[in-house]
Amino acid sequence: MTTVQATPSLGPTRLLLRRVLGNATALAALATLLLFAGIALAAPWLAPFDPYQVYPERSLMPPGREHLMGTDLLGRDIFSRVLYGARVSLLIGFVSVGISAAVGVVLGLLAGYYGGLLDNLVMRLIDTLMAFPGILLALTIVALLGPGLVNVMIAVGIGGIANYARLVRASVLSIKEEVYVEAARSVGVRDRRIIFRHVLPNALPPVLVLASMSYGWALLSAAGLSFLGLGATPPLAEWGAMLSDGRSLMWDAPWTAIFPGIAILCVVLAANLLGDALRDILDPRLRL
Amino acid sequence: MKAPIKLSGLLCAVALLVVACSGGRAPATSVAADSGRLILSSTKPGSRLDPHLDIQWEVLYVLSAVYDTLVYQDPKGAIVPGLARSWERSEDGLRYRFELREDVTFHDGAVFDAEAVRFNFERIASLASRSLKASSLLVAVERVAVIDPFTVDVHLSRPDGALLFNLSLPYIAMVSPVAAAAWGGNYHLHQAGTGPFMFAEYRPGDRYVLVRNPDYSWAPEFYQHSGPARLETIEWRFLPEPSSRAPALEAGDVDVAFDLVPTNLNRILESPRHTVSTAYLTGQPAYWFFNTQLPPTDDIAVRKAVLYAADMASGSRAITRGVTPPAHGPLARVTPEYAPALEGLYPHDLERARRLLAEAGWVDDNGDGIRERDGVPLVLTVSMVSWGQSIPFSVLLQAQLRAVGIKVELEMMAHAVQIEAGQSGRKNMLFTGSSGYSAADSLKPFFHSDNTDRGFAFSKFNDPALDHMLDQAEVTLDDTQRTALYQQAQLRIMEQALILPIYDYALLIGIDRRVAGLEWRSVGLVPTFYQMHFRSEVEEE
Amino acid sequence: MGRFIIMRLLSSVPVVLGVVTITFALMYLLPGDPAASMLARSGASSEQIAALRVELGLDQPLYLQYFHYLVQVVQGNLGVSLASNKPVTEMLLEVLPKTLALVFAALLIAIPLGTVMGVTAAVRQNTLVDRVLVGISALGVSVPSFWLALLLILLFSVTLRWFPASGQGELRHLVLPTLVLAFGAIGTVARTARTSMIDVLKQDYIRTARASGKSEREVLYRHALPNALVPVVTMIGLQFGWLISGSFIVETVFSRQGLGSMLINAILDKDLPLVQGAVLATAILYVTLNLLVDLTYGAIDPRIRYE
Repeated sequence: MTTVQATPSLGPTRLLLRRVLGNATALAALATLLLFAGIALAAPWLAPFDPYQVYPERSLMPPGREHLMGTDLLGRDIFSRVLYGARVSLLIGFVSVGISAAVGVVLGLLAGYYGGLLDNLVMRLIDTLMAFPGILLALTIVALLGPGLVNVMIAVGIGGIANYARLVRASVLSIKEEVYVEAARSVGVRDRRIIFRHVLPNALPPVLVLASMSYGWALLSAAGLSFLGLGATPPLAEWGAMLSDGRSLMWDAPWTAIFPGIAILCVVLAANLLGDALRDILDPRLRL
Repeated sequence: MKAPIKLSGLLCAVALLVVACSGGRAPATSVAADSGRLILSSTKPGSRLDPHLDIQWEVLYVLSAVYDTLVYQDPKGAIVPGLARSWERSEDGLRYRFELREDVTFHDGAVFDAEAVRFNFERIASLASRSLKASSLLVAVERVAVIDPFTVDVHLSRPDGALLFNLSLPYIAMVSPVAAAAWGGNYHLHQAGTGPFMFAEYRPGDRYVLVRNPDYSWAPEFYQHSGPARLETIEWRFLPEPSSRAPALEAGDVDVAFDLVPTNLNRILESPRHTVSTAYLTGQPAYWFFNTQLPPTDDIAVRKAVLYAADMASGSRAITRGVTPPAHGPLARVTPEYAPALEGLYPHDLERARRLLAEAGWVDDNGDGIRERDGVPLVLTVSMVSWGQSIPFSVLLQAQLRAVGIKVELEMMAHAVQIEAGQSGRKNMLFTGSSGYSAADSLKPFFHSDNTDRGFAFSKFNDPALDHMLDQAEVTLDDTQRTALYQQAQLRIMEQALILPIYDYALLIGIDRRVAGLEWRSVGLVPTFYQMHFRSEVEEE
Repeated sequence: MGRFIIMRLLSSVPVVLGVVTITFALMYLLPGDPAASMLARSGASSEQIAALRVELGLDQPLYLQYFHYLVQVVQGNLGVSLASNKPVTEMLLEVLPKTLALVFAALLIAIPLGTVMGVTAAVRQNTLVDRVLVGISALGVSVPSFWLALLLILLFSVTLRWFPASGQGELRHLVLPTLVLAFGAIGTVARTARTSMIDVLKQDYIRTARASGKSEREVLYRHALPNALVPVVTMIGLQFGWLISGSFIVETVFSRQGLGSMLINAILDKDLPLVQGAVLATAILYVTLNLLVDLTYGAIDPRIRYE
């Protein structure tokens, strides 16, 4: 892993923004994400129907003028549910990435900065977590906590910690060797001040890249858990859960599964592309 | 996903079935022992499958072809001779004497006799709690005595009006004492019965293969032919994903597909090569228990209001495409003891629901759309399970009750968790669907006050009157009297609003038109494999 | 070499120990009494629960229980499934080959196909071909596998009837699940191959080779490709992680038996011993595959050494 030098003159945020806006793919990806964020916020005004109101007599109507994406088994409007689903799915992504990043950064900082026994312990923990491939760790945690939206966010969040911790630890290790850190230490500046003033700000840019790249993963994992019946519980409008409902209806009413899937694909693809672009902009050498 | 449990729920249900099947009757003559390999699909790969141990569908479907029972039920539900030629009941109802057939041998060559019967009863008793169904069917049996080589006495601790019914279920299959003793814990891999088909191959998770028993000559008389079965081989393939069964049938991968999903039917119904038949199951329908000890469902006004406000019939039309009839009480309509008087007891009537709630003091004081009483909002906690149609019906209930100011909080529950929740009484409404068998087995375990804490009487309703009806019915040997008692009990249950009935179970079977002879022995949803065959060219017209 | 093997083996000991500790903890972190929840499905009395507590050793101090659990695991005894009453180890061994078959089938498709795509894209960097290939690989990592599976079923099983939507045993049953699983992996492999090939093409020795008048073909395939493949090969271990995890969902959608579908059913059933066993088996399988991959490299490429 490599470090990223603090950018001296131009504020890093503005620089980043300028670069993103100059990259067509990144711009499109960002626009897609903003669009979905807008949908999530405006769902109550955009949705033609109450996503939770059932109309048994309108069960499984194909897409048409009134129901753009058709209706599900209970006659609920799929278009409205997809719109509302943006709220749930985007939120799950943010919260779980937030959990991964927060815990991972703290662990990585402590391990990297203090080293020694603490580092050893943290690394063994990380190694163990890494032994649970993909969604296995999240599955295990859901097995423990039981199904449910909050539990899925926690589970997916914990599932992502290891990557952040490793990344931050590596950054910290090399930042620690920098002259200005050595200097601050030698004049007796307290650890806490060094960490917050020097180490953390420099370790953050790669975290941002990782966060945007793992956002898609988090959303996919959460949707996958819901699909398996371990995530969002009915009647919540969540894309993965909607797909799960649609699964047994594929044969006679494929629209019940097709549209929620397209929504997931759009958001995940946009998040991944934005992540790639951010990595290229911030540090092409970063291999994530 | 949960097809397995769903099926056990469904099939465990005993059943009767009135099949509107395309049954081409076998020519009334006899044994056109044609060859043919019938391929059927059903749900779950079995686990350790032993009729005395397991409750899974394979016992009813697959193994019913491998074993015979002491008595059979004919398609009309009458008890007729099986391995027992005749029987008589003692005056006090405490002893049954069975005269056995003397011409029967097991697939492994062992002779079927009185000792074999005693061995089987004792095997079931010794399995005790490891036996998921068989031992519960024989609770009244005290001991079995061999009188002579082909006569046995079954002694009971109390009269049991359901004994013969229970003995006709494939769970009380007669297994070979030799094979069972020789293989012990691995008997399930080396089964030997006396039935028309022999256990040939079992690839776990993949298929069962049964082959014709060439020596079979003791078929019950209600069949139209005798001698060996007409099919040469029956092959069961597992298709656990419910929505994959209709495509498999349509593609010709299987000849008969059990347990189709109602929302998958369109293409099969349109296909000229297939027919669909429906079997309606006896015993318990799907329903929710109301917990009568946990507020707010301890208030009968709330329970009745829910019954008036919920329109489960509209759910049946949408969710199961009208395949499952709406239920009206604790027994499905096709159960002989069903009480027709229940129908119309709780019509869909939102006004009446609102009035009941208002009279009981439940009023929306703060304008949030949910009623309150003494500051406590009217919230019901309701369980959902992952099998059957529990989820869509729960969501429907939630939406319908919201209209009368009742808030429903849904929680997904695993089977074991739901049982624990039922016993500890921490939910207002619990979904149930694991059906019982006879009326007796569908009512007493679920409503008698003896079973409120440890058993399955999740209504927790302690009512001496109801207990008395159930106790009396159980030991009443006269059919008419017993039926009358069970009907009273059903009325009592619904008058006290102990459950919210949802729908009667129905099983959809897709059948290739070339296949003939699929009917049901009225009990246990046992298909008549013995008489099934492929239509000849001539018959096909 | 021997030292490398020993060090690599030793390094997996704490990981495996950590995994075992986590599965052990599963039982104790769960709310409620494990014995009571195990017996809940049979409606047992409090005496029976107490008896089971003793049988399971739940009345002993925690460290002793942990020790016993370790001993049992080492002996390959993972308890008995609550739902089926079968030994967990037996059930795991039954499904393990099925999951491995799926994972390896996907790997066999994903590695060559992904490599070809990545290398092609790199050689034609910034052309339309490159963009299309990059787009496909981006789709590969972004598409929800459960959704892709449903679409393939709709197309190939329902509409065209080429391949069955579920079942197993024959090769044709393996086609759709393998495609779905491979699609995600192809994306990752292609991205790695592309980046790596682009890097290599910038290297001095490639320039030298070109300057020496060798044909472009020879430069690409004789000089660049072998070096570009190293990162692809080294990521096989990581691929196993993706594939095993992906197989969970794929097995469920296609109703295949396997570790994943067994684990998910066990979670839904709250069949704790089976959950513990399946989690443990999956993690150890992953660690072992990685170990094997690393050891193989160690043998092949002397440059790779422990740490």
